Amino acid sequence: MLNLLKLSYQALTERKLRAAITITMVLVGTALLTGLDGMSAGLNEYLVQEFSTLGANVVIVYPGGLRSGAVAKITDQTTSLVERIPGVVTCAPFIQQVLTVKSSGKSITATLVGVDRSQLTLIFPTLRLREGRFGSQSDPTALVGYLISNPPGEERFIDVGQIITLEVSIVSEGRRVVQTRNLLVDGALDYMGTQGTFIPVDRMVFTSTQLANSFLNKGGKYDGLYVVTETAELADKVSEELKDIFGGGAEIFSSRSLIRTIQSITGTINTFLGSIASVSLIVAAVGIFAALYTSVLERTREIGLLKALGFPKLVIIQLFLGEAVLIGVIGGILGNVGGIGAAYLLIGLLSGRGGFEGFDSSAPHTFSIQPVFTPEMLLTVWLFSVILSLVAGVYPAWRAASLDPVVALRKE
Amino acid sequence: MVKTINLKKSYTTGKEVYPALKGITLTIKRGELISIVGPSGSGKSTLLNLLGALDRPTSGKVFIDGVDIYQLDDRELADLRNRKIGFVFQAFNLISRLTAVDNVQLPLLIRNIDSEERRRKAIKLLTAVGLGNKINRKPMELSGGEQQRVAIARALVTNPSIILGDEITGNLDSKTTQEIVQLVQDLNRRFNTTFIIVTHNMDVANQTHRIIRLRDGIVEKDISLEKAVF
Repeated sequence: MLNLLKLSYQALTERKLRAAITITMVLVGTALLTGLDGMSAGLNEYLVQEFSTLGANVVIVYPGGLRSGAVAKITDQTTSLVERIPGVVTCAPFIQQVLTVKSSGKSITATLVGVDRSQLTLIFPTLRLREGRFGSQSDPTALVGYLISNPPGEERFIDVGQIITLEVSIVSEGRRVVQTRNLLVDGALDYMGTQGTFIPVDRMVFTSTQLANSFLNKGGKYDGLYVVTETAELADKVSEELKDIFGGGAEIFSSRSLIRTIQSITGTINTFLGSIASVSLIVAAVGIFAALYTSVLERTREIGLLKALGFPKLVIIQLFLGEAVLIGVIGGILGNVGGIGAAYLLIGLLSGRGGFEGFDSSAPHTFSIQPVFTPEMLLTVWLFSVILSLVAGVYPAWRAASLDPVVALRKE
Repeated sequence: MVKTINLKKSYTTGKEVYPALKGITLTIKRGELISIVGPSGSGKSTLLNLLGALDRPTSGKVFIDGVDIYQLDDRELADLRNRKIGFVFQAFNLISRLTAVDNVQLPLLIRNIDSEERRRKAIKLLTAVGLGNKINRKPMELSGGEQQRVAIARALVTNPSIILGDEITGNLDSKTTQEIVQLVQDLNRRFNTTFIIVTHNMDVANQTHRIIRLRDGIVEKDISLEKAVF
């Protein structure tokens, strides 16, 4: 068996250019598949990590149905109704508004969130206090996200114990007015790394619901609800109950449902890209077929000789399949390596332009997408290319083995 | 011992049936050195292919060492070729990417012989044909005569009952032809291997023990030359 493989190998090396071309074809296909798999696994890990900043047992209710156009009104009555759903631990209504925050002559944009700050660690399990305290509903103070106290690329904006000025233009009694309000900062949060995703905690300023309500002139209406359930599994069940309560008047999200939705989208994209990569491997298989078939034609006399020397059909099939498999094995390994290299190179290029790093490279622990490769995945891709190569070799090998030795030996 | 009984072979092209062999009955003893001569189309190559188990006859039988070879299936026939028959061709048919010693080992690759033993046998045969010092040369690095010596060593390495040669000197000049004929005579004596060679060259035929002349698919003459000198 080993002797036969050596013969196959020698036959390959005799036609170096042709072997190199077919191996390159397999390499490219395998590299594409490997790289894509690694990138999508990395993207998936990134998304799961990003969305896990919101607790897996948290459901968010946003009034305003995307499909129905109806808008549910969320008040304290709604909140107590939701709190009575079995499996719900607590229900924290929130008010949310993008506004300008000023401090000692400088200003930045932030999201003001009026919420019961004592519930924040239930809603965002990875949230950590860096300095000061969270504050309660009766404190007219502010808790600031990491990027509010430390804006990227700038000097420190605010410290605990200092005053910030909130400035927002709202519609009051039919007129647009600019409201301002001074708040004492009594807490600062640690870095979360959620910028750019759907809840930018690092760019938020938290205060009590009452203060936000009066400052933003909300009249007792909330912008949404954070519903905390007993377990992550219950989140789906509670989501269903919430859909019944709000009908089409609100969108119900949970980190689980968001991850599922995004994964189904990325899954579709991956299937699409993966099939393109597979097509390139199939093209490689056609290349192997053509190369081996040509080789069978060129080596007709040699095959005739082997038959005259008593080589059985099966051995001749093995000789040619051996060549196909060698092409697949070598191309597959090089393709695995090339795919890993290409994935890192691509990520490097993208993050070099700031594409995947987010917009704050100064943040303490920037989290960017890293391709993820598992041995099982590499092996699967590798096996796929080896098997495709083998399949491509079947017909040429069979043709070679079926040659009539008398005719084959006579061939010039 | 090789024996043929009323061996016939016809080729069919379209509606035409062309009889290449019309009934050959021969007995060839172990250790004979035989030449088959005759004009083109007389059936020499067809006979050689049938003796070599490369083809199947239309009718008739071939016995090699008592085995009715065309009763065997393809797999058994391949095994018989490997064990009982050696081939030497006009165009040498060496594999150009392999060295002389690897070419000679080739028929042993499909046998259960360890690589040391294979190599040792191959070197022994290469030495016997006078190429003991060129075992690692590739065919391109050898002269025509030397290449044919490698091919003869390859035919002998399995220790076969018969060696079939098809115009083995056809590609060689007269001096080299004579060297190869002497080598064949020498090997025939030393190993007592039966040689059956098809040739156009009467100088070559006249140095064998027996000349079988074919014409139109039948044996026209079967002359024993043993001890005879021309």
